[in-house]
Amino acid sequence: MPVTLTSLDDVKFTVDKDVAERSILIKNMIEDVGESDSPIPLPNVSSAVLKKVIEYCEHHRNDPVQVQDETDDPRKRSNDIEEWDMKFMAVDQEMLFEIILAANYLDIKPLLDVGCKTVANIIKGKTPEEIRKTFNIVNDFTPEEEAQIKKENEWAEDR
Amino acid sequence: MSTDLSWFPPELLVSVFSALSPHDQAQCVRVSRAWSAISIPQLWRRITIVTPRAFRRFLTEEAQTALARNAHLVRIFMTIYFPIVESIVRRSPESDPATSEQPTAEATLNDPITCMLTNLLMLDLGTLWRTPLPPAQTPQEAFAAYSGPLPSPPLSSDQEELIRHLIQSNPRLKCLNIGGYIQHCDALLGIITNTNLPNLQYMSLLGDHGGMSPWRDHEMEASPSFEAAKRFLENSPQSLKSVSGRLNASVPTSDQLVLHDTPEPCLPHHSLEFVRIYAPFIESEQTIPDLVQQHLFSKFFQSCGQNLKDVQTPHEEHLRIESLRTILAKRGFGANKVLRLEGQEAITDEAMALELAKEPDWTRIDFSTCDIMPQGRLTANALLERCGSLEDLDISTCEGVFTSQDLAELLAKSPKLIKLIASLDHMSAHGWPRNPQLEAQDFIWTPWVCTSLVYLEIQLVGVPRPDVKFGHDGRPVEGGLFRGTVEWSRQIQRLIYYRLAELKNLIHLKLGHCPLEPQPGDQLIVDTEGRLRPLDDEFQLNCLEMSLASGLDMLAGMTQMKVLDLTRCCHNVGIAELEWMQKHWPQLERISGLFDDWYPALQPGVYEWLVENDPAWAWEYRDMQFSEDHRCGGILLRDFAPQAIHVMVAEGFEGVVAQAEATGGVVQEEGVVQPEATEGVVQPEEGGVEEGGEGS
Repeated sequence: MPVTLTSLDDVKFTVDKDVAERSILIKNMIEDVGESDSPIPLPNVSSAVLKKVIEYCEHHRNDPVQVQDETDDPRKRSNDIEEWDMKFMAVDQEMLFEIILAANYLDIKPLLDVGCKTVANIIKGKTPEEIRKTFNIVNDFTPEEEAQIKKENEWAEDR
Repeated sequence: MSTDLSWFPPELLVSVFSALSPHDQAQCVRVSRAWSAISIPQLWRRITIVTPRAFRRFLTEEAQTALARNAHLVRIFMTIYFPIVESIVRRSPESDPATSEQPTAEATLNDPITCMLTNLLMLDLGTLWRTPLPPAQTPQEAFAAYSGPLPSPPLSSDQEELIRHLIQSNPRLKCLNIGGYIQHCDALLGIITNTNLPNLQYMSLLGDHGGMSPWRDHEMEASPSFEAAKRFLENSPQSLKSVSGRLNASVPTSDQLVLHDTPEPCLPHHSLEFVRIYAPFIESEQTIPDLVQQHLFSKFFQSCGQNLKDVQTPHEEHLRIESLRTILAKRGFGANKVLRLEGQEAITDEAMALELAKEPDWTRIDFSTCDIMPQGRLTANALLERCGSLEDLDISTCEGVFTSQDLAELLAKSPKLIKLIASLDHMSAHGWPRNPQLEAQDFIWTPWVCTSLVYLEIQLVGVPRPDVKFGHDGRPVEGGLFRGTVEWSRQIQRLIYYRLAELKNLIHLKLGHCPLEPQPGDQLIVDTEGRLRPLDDEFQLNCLEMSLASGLDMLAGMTQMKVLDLTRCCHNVGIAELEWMQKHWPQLERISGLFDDWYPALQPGVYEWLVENDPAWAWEYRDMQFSEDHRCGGILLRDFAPQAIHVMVAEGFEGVVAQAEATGGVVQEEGVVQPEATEGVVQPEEGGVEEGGEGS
């Protein structure tokens, strides 16, 4: 039985229930409300992002549900992303962050993981200055502070 | 395009940073105040000081100040340098700088000691050294250092005291690994025995390597006596899942050993899965008296439960003691599923085949320690009929028993295989090993199913290499040894890489050709740089080039790769290849076999590059003495049974630790069979040390 989702900009998406229920948020909503034809409003997600998220959920509709939330290894290596997911995540940065936020809001753990790993892959191998440039971060350290913090943590650097 | 990340929720940044390597985390720390605040706890969670560069940087005033500030964050601590231990375990400052009198040794020992790290879950002291070699300035110096001096002297009792203090200050320890030149191993083991470590799950006293090594002074290495080992085993924490250690070579006779068994029963050890006790220096004809073995082991093994999966003890013939066998069988330990034969006496093909026929579904077989008479096909056929259940197989030194087609068939019929060793490359009691070889043609055309392989050592031969211009006798061969063109050779190599690339789980890979019989005095000229090299084993004649030109880049999917052994495959490995490996295999911890004390690298510029870049995975070339058995994440993969590897790979070692934190120190391992309603497997409750609150 299909479920209708309404995005922030009032676009309606009709998807199969098992696809929609990849989102724990939606799953819980459906359980709480019971079977109903009325659309589920998702006021935090724009239609462009929701379309992407649904694409992900459709591709992963048959994945086994992750059970071990607590016990999951948080230090998952950032490189073990499936090929499909990697392509799926090949979007501009703004969209990437929107997807991550939507995954967080909708409680879709695997998508959130893939998103975070993708951001980690962007960071990987970059210098602090390159990272700032990439993410438009203002350096609020004084040069002395930065030199100090570099020396304090340099033992962990490879080069 | 750029996106403002300032609104990004901090808890999501935590997930992002946790997927980064320490190097990248150290960059994030410098980005901004906000990033610093989030990434510092992640970076300082784990301290690994195993390279001379890290050593120098950790002992700077700035890093030490930061350590004092962040000590409460540290969960994992790993080093091989003693001064690093000293930097975190210090004598208290009031140890009289005013009084100029020399403190007596006794007074020194009575000084209060403070330990900065008190929240450790994992302590890995690998093989302890006092100081690293000084940094080399020139390639020549670096090379001189490679064939460097013998190991430092053993730790003094004073230094050992600091180690003890470090252990005693960390009651939450889950993983403890100590090795190296510890004199008073009994005393140290006694301390561990008497320290309440209710969460200890992995314990190793092996140090950096589990097996024999040709150039180490074993006399000096950590090896407790039978008595101390017995006391430890019987009183070890109930949480223990894996224990490994080495026993002292001096075997007590039953007269010397006072067999005073305490009347109290041994603590139950229902969580124990892996027991490895080595006594490699006991001559094989020197048998341990049954009484001693029984005395040492029986009470301990009686305390083990259904989870016991693998047992190795000095001289597996202890299993011949009927009572022990019965005990193990009662505990559900499938000793009959594990076949490991030791002994000098040769076993005939028939006898071995009969031995194999006893069990339809072996999980682990180790042929490496016995001689098989290489006539007939019985052994190979018997093995191939039963390989469907195999997880761990060692057939090194079995040349003549297993043909190349047998190896290919094995790879095609063993879906459960996790560890395959078919290539031993150091001298054994029988001289140079003769290993079975896998011909490229068999490898290319056989579909293989063992994609779960994590650890693979096999001799891949038969690759036509027209670029190699000398023969087995070391003399240059006009026009090369092989027909065909280099391009054709590389087409074949690409097919091999294509097949290899299916092994996405590989952590350890070695493909080199076996040693040839060395002929002292022979020399040969190598074409790349005109260097003279002795004729012997370091030369490849017909294995993979492992060069980018030959298709190395097809292995980019092996992202788990930690240990690559290039022995005899390093001929064409240059800077571009090393940079490629570094880039695509982020887990890389070690590349072996590039060169060693005797054999310089072949590609120009390799030393210079190593000296300049000093990558973490090349530590063995800097301090050559470390180059020992295969070290993986501070844990010796080779020392663990495939089940243990499985658990570690599935959970990740860090995962285990993170889990411990998430659950406040109480860890229920998943993926590990909990005994069905076994009598009271009590995971001791953690005292509830609050994180982060106790910053000084």
